[in-house]
Parts: sequence; C-alpha cells; structure tokens
Amino acid sequence: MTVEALVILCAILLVSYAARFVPEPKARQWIILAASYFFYVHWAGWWFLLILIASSLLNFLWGSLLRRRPTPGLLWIGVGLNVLLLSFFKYLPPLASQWPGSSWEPDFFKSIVLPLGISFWTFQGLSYLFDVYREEELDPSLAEFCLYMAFWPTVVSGPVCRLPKMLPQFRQVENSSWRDDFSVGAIRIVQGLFLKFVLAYILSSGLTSGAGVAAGFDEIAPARSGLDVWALAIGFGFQIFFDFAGYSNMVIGAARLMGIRIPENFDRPYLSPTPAIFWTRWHMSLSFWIRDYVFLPLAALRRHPRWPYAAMVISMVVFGFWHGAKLTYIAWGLYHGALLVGHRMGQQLKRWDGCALPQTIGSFLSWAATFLLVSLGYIFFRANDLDQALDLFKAVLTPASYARTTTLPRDYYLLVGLMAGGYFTYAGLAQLVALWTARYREGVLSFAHALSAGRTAGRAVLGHTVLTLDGVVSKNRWWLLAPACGLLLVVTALSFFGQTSSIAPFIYTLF
Amino acid sequence: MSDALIQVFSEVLQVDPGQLTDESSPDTVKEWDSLAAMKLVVAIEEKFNIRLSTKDIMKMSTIGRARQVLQNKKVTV
Repeated sequence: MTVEALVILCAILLVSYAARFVPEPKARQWIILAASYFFYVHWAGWWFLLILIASSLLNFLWGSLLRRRPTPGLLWIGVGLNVLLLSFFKYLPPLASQWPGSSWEPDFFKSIVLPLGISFWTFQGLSYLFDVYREEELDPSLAEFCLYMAFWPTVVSGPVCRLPKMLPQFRQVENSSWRDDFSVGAIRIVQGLFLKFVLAYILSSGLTSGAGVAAGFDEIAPARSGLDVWALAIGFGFQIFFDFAGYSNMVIGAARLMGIRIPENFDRPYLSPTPAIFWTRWHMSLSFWIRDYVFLPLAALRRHPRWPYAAMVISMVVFGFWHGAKLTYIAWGLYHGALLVGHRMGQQLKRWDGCALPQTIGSFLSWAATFLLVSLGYIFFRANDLDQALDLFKAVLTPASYARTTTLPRDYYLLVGLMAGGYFTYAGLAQLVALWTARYREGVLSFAHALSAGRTAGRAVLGHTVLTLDGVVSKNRWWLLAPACGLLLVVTALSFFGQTSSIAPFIYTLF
Repeated sequence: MSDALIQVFSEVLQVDPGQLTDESSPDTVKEWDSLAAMKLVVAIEEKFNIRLSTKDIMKMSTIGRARQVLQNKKVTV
C-alpha cells in the first residue's frame, strides 16, 4: 500500500464517519454507498465495479421475484446464476488450464482476473436469496441492498454479513452512542494493525532473513523432519490467525466508527476444547453461512442417523473449495470433515464405554489434541501443492523422520515458540482476569468504598485510586487512550510502508 | 415459558428450559450446533407426529421461528 492509498483510505473513513451524524437514513446510506463504490473503484477498477453492481441488481431483482413466489425452483435458479458468475472468474481459469488435452484457447482464460472480494459479496447475495426463500421479513430498497453488497469495510474480505442484521442498522434514525463506538472502533483498529503489521509480519518473514513461515514452505529444502513439519504447521496457524483476525479487527473497528456492528470472525479459536467448538470460533461468518445454507439443507434431505455426518463432510469440502480450485483446499476441507465426524464418533464411544478421565486432565488433553490437529490441517491449506502437503504429512506420521536433523533455522523455532508461548500466556492471563473480575470485583469495590470513607488520608487515597481505576476500565473510557494508540500504530505502520515493500498482502484478499 | 416445544429443545440440547426463550438461536445457545439442529428436527417430528420439509428446517433459525413453522402445520404449541 502506498502513502497515497493510505490517504484515500483515511479520507473514505472520515467521510463515512461523518455520515453517522447525518440524521436522515437515506442520505446517510447514499453517502456510505458512494464512499463504498469509490473505495472499490480505487482498489479494483471500473470493470469490477460494474460486475459488483450487476451482481447486486441481479440478486435484488431475483429476491423481489422470490418474495412473491418463494419456490425451490426459483431459489435454485438464483443460486445457480450466482454460482455461475463466481465459477466463471474463480474456478474456470484454473480448471481449464489443468484440463488434459484441452482445446480451449488458454489466452482467454489467462486474461480472466478475479474481481476483488467476489467470493465474499457473492455469498452475501446468496444469503439474501436464501433468507427471502425462508420467508424472513426483508424489504430492502435498491440503495440499501447495493450498500449491503458493497459496504466498503467488508467488500474485500468479509466478514460475510447477513441482511437481517445490517438492514435495521442502515435504517436507524437515532445514533447517539458515538463515544462508545469511537472508543471500541479505534481500539479494534489498533489491535488489528498490531496483529497484522507486527505479529503476522514477523511470523511470515522471520526474526532473521529466511527464518519465517514463507521461507519454510516456499524454499527448496531437504526432507523435513517430523518436528520441522509441526513447527511449520503451528507457525502458519498463528500467521494466518494474526493476519485474518487482524484484518477482521480493522474492518469491524472501521464499521463500528460509523455506528454499524458487523459480525465477529474470531473468538479465541486456539483455546477451543473440541474441533466442533473450533468451527464456531474460526472464520465464524463463513462457518455459520456454511452451516445455515449448505449443511442444513443437505442434512434435511434424509433422516438416516449417519447422513448428517456425510452432510458435514460435504459441507467442509465446500468450505475448502470456496477458497479456490486447488486440491489442497479440498483436502483441507476433507481433513476437517473427518476431524469433526471422528470427534463426534469418539464422543459417542466415550458415552457407550463410560470411561472418563478426571475433568481437568480430560479438558487439557482435549484442548491440546484439538490445537495440534487443527494446526496440522494447515499443512494442506498452506502447501504449494498436494505433493508437498503429502510429503510433509508423511514426515509427521513416520516415527523415523523425528530422528532426522531439523532443517529449519534455530531462529524459526525460537520465533514460533515465542509466538505460541506469548499467545497462550496472554490468553490464560486474560481468562484469569475475567474469572477474577467475575468473582472478586464486587468485594474489592465495597472494600475500596469503605477505605475511601476512612479517617486516615492514606486509606482514603488508596480507596479513591482503586475506585477511579475501576471507573476508567469498566465505564469504557478507553476512548481517551485510543487516539494516542491509533497515532502510535499508524506511525508504526507507515514506517513499515516506508522501509519495506515486503509486507505480504492480507491472506484472505486472495480469495 | 416452558411448553412442549421448549421441552423438546431442552431435552435435545440438554439445557435448562428456563434458559430458553422464543428468541433463543444457535448464536445464543452454544449447545445448538449443526448436528444438534438435525437431532432437534427428528425429535420435533417424532414428538408432534409431523414431517418437516427442507424449507421448514431452514426456517427454524430461532425457537420462535420453529413455533411459527409448527403453527402453520396446525400444531398447537
């Protein structure tokens, strides 16, 4: 990103922020829609804007038709049109180039470029059709629907929004909580900048040159030891988490500045005790989309007790395929489908067998197994092709490979150890603070009240200090700190922009 | 509110009926995951002796919406 692009982004953010003070909802919608189209033209170009508008018009008109006649036939034609549009840009070029003996003109396919964010806004259009079909009360105007599809914070890489949650917010007349919104929004943007431009960046490029995740996967190396593969998998797991959660934080923060709450994408995914819970905490907006619009209709087709498991595996393959027409993504989806089904069957076996470990040990083992298996799955996601993924997997599953000398630099192990250790220490402390607050805050506050009314000056000052500190934290006065933090982080980010052009783009902008 | 429909949800999800309302959804009840949703379908079909279509199942995004689906099928809940 250039300084010019950053200035344009800030200008769009400012205009959108100012729009929240426009009392008339329609005028506000038009301002944010204009800002969104300006944003999209700048980053994607006029042609892709026309495709986005065409998709918006198509889904709006089809939704109106479906509202009058909510039949499965009309729904599936609408779904088919969206899938065709997505497939033309996303799946046709790679599939055509790999088709054996293809007589198609390859230059034509090479000239097809993926419109920015098409996977995300197509899925938003689809969710609208499904919601109209299931007779949710939705009556967007054309401008509201176009804004839903093109809303600039989410148009590039989500989170995938749903119209029933967005429409009332586009229409709200009174929006008086700007202080809270500014406070939370600014903090989320700062958090996002830190996750992406500090943590994800360091993980990708390494503490020293060639000692990061990118080099680990992309540079030609001798056969990896089992330990190397685990370190690569865990390293990439944290990189993609910091990258995408960083992005999501910035987007959620930017929308919140305008007074709009968009869905969360992450909720401490690496603390999940089971694979099923992991999928309610990782890329949540897409995961819930797949649950509602792929898994449920599929699972509803048959009432056989094992059929939901098959539907789950198919849904996870769709999840993987959504990322692109690569065998590695399909394998990743299949792997997670197998993991989810395996976990469910394990649970049933446990109930049938009646064996149970002490709860603390059981919970720890379950969390550790989930974290390690989810991390291992990233091998499929990140590997450059299926052959590389299978080679790496073979190393993990071959005991002899662990006797090999590790091939990754010592700095890489240090980096992954620091990141994983730091993250889990932070997460553990945050949980302890939350627990402590829930249990002891009231007691401490009543003690502080008693102290502040005390006779000696020392006790009174201590009591007042505790009460003031609690007020700063609990009454959400963080917004006083946010501008300072924001300035600090923008300066840091700018120094990154200025010094190096090697910051990788957000991973999910590739989809 | 603890009626026949809430009872079904409570039994399948193993959640105290007092915690369930017509606004409860997979977003608010963590036990209501994908597989539980299908268990709910089977339990509702058996309890009220009806057959739910794919569209009915897609509509049941909250307990209130499930109630509407059943009422449209002339089931008193």
